[in-house]
Amino acid sequence: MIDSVDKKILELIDKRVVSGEKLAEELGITRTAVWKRVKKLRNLGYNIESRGNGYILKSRTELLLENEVRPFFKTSFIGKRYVFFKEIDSTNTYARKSVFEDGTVVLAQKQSSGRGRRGRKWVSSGKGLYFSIVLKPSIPVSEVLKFSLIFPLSILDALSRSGISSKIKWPNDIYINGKKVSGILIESDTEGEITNRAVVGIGINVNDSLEDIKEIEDIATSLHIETGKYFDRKLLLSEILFQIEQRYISFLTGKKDEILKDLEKNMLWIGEDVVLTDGNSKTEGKLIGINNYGGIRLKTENGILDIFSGDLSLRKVDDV
Amino acid sequence: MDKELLFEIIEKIKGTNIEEVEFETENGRIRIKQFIGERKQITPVQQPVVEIKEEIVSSVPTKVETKEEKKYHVIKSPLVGTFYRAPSPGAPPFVEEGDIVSKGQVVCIIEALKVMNEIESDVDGRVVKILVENGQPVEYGQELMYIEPR
Repeated sequence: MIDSVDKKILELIDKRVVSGEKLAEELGITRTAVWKRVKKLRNLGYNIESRGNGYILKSRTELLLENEVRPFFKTSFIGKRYVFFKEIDSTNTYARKSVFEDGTVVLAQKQSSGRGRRGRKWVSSGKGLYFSIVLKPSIPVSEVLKFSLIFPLSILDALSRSGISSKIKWPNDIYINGKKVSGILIESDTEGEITNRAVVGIGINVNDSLEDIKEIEDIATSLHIETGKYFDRKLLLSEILFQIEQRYISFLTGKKDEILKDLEKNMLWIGEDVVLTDGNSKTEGKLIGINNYGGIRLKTENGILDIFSGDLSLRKVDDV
Repeated sequence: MDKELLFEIIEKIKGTNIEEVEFETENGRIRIKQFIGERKQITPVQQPVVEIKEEIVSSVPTKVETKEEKKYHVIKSPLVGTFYRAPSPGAPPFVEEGDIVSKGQVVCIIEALKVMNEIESDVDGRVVKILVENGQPVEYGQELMYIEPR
């Protein structure tokens, strides 16, 4: 989308007026080519003003283009390959269709059919972060559950560095003040007993206004709605990827059970009466914590139960 | 080589349907075979060096395998979770009974902790039976499908 010549133009006209003639000379291209490139950059959201016969960059684009986010990345392999779309159906669908190297990040400014669990929809207003990470852990499928907990914990850590305190609704939703701010969908390929690839889709409502998420305002919120502040999505993305890489490396090198402790420390509704809904089945009980595999542990009328799938919700008073 | 031991083994396997015993001592490898009647369909299992005692004890009950298990390849759940036959509700199932599948083809999803684990067939063949209903919880090692290898 943006090549080295474009980058050079942005560099040269950053905060100072440079004439088209001078740019053409510096870059060894014609003045028409300069004009065409400036037009392209404007279309990508760069605010470039014309002054006399020169140009000046007043503000950068809001699009999370590779050249915009790359300077902030602190990771060694996650995001080394970065694929950006202005709009796509779903980053997970795209990331799963192709063969990508370990650590590839696919990010979209907008998703036209963002997906959640079992065909549910993820609303992507364009003001949040919607991306997928391709990971190739080659771990026994029995460890995938623990592995999957890396992601909510990393987002929680990244948010906490921005001064936001959040909780995890088992297994991997992020909640602030009782509403969902981030969701994760992991799709993995298992052959025999080994999981070779996992595509981790992450959606976070960042600068969304109440209006942006109107259709889901009862259950969802955004970082902006909760804090009144606007967040730099480049910094947030970079911090999340960094936290994920740290936790992922420590997971692969053996520190697997720390994840369970960390989850339990940051989990929503521990000690409260909850309902777990899975398809048509409902299980009620007191949420005790999680078991050694990352499943949820409920104290029910029929004793203690360990459950691995379903939707957790708080039991309302009128249900009793 | 201890001849007594050899005779003892021969005595022990006489009358059983053990066809072959092979074992190894520091002096070498010994294989004892006996004719046990018509050759049935025997799967070419690579028998490693067998401990004689174990072989005698274990071989008798293994003959009581069900016909289905022998003939068909079983896809088992590699984890505890919920079994799904389709990628999302309303979508067509990955496979139906009677479908031909190839190795590496996705046959179902087991969900746990919101991780959608796509389970691939590890053989080429035909789906003979799907043993679990869509949306049902499954245990580790639970049989999900029978595939007739081709």
